[in-house]
Amino acid sequence: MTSLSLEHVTKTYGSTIALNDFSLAIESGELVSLLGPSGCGKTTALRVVAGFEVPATGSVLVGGADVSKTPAHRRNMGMVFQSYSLFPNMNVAQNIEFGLRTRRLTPVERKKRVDEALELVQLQKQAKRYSHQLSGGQQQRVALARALAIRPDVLLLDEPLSALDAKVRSTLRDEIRRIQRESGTTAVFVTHDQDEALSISDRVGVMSDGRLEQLAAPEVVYSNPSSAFVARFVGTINEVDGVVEDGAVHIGPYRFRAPSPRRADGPIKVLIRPEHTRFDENGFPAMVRQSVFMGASKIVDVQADGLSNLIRVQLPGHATSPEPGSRVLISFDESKVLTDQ
Amino acid sequence: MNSKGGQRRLGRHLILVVGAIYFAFPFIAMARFAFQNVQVFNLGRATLFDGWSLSVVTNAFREDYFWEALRLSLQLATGTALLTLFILVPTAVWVHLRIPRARVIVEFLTVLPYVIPAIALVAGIVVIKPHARWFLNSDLSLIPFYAVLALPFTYRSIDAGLRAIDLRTLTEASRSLGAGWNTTLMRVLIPSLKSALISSTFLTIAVVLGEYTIADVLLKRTLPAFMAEYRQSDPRGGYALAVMSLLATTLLFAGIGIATRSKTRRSEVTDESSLKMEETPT
Repeated sequence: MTSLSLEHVTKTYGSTIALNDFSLAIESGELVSLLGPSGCGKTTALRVVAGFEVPATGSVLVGGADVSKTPAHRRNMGMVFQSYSLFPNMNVAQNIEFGLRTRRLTPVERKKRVDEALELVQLQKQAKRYSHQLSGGQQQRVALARALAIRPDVLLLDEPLSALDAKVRSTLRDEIRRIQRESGTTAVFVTHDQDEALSISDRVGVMSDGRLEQLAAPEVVYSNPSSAFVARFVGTINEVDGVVEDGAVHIGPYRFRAPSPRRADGPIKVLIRPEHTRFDENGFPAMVRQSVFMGASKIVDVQADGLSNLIRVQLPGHATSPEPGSRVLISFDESKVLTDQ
Repeated sequence: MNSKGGQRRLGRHLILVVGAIYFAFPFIAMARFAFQNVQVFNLGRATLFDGWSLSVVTNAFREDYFWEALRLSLQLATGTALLTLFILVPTAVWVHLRIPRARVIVEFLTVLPYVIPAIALVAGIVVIKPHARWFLNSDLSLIPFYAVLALPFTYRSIDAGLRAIDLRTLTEASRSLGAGWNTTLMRVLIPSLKSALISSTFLTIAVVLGEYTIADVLLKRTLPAFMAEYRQSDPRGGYALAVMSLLATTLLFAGIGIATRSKTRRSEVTDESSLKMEETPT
């Protein structure tokens, strides 16, 4: 088990800054997801760790040792790619054995590790099949087995589920987590899918413009986002125009104490999650536009008087929801409100 | 819909038949001249099956020079194919991976030997000849020139092969598993490019077996040079050898077609089986 850290890494492509003084520390055996929109630098960060990209400044430390100048094939990183990466001229067992051959292990040791890896991903029966004889999910499981067979210091997963359909995706996501926990391998998982990041990780790193906006446990990132960007990117959020006056936020007749950090008087964006929004007789007036039953929950979209955008309210699935067209009063759980000027 | 499809199919067959006639008639005419022991002015429909004989070829085979020329041409073909693969595959891989923007320039450069006539290359060789006699005296000195002549065909073939695979991902997967560049090239990329390399090799052989200008200027006794010379003493024998050479080249291309088609069919079959497997979770 090995720790991984990136220290003040900067990577540029021409005038584009992909990583901007990026730092990240991952504990041994931890799975950290890098989450962010396209172009935020998450894949670049992974490629810098793998050794496929050379940073302009900064360093990559694996188990405390600086590997910044070590070529990719000497870093002992296992990598699973977004696109199917199995070698088409080799069958499943040979693909897994490839990394063991480059490490010059004995045939006996190689066979033992291949069998273990196949068992880990439950593909023993497919050992002699070629990549074109496997489904997408099976190919990614082989890629995972191949990456783990070399017993890597760090396992790097570059959106490994994005090419799969929803059902396979969910199953494989759980499988990756199980295998990573069982093997105790330190792992970095890059994704733009927030559900994937929240469900699989010990910690989630939300990235924007080559920087880490927040690195915390999934619950913290969701319920206590460090910035408006994180709040907007992770989960669904309502954005309501308000005004700060004398330390209080005003949304029409509705008024509540401004959350910290204290904002200067003037217009403000109030950010609040649907589950922290409620029907309340002390709230501000709105009209129900639509109500959708989602099974475990109900989603009610309302149009607040004098505001342009819809506000989403999330109720428990069993709750009685108002009819579309009816008048309601809504308010927020003020302790959960975020503001952005 | 059906009649439209039928018309289209008929059109395709018609083009195929016209194309076949266009190529077959001169070929048959040459074969009749070479292999039929009939006076040229008597060659007609009435004598179609008269006097066919392989004696003109067997006579040519009896010439010691023929076997020397054939051996040299085969050596040149092998050498050219190996040199092409040795230089072109790493270069093409490098261009695709490291400088993809330069692909257009490289494509342009590789097509030049096709645009510029071989005689221009010969003129260049004549200029350097006094300074490189030690090299040009060897029969095998033709290899680099033939590699250049074959470039328009070989580069395109390898380039198409590289475009057909996910080169970057395969390379990075191999590197992340501990393989250096040589291992990646030899154990991952070259086996993945098998079809492209086979077709590139066949094309090289076809170019070498057909090249006359440079060999003649450098006084190398290759098969095409032998054929040209033999044609002067025995025109029918010379053309018989040309027919045989053309036939061999055609068979090579047919070989490419069969190899490629059987590979395509194999992957179609396995695609079907993998679809079935998708339906049955494991």
